[in-house]
Amino acid sequence: MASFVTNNGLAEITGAVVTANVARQLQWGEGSGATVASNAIASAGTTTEARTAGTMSQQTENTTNDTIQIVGTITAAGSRAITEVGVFDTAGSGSPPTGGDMIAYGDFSAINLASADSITFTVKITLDQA
Amino acid sequence: MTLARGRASEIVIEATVTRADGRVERLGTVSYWHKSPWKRLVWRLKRMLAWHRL
Repeated sequence: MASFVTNNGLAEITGAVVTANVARQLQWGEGSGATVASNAIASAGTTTEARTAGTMSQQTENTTNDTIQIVGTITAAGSRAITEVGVFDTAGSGSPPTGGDMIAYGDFSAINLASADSITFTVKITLDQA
Repeated sequence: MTLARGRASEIVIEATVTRADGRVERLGTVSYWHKSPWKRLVWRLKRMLAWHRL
């Protein structure tokens, strides 16, 4: 006996997420190492910029439409050393913004920015059957 | 590099910096996670090799 999701099923799942009309929001930070259980970026620090609504689409990595892609740009309000980004299900409130659920997270070597510099993040989440 | 993950098989984060004066710097993949530890290892080795070439 076996149970599995078909390739068409994966496309249906990513399609449902993309068309759910729920804007996914990107927030950056200056920390690292948020865990799977975390619901926030590790350290907002001085990164007071509001979350940015990402543009969502289906992409193909291994099988047709098996990937959810979120693209968004955040502009620095001052000098920054950005080391992490999170995807949230709400814009949140406050400065730095808080609230909502974090869907995905990544940290990386510092990207140094001056005021008015911006980063366009492309986040790709690929699903498979196993 | 750490990534929060549920049952995704792969998560890729790419970054492109646009400076205030209009210059564009494509950094490529800055953070990567794959459910296969071997693929994660390969990605880290590629990153290390790229840094040595700089």
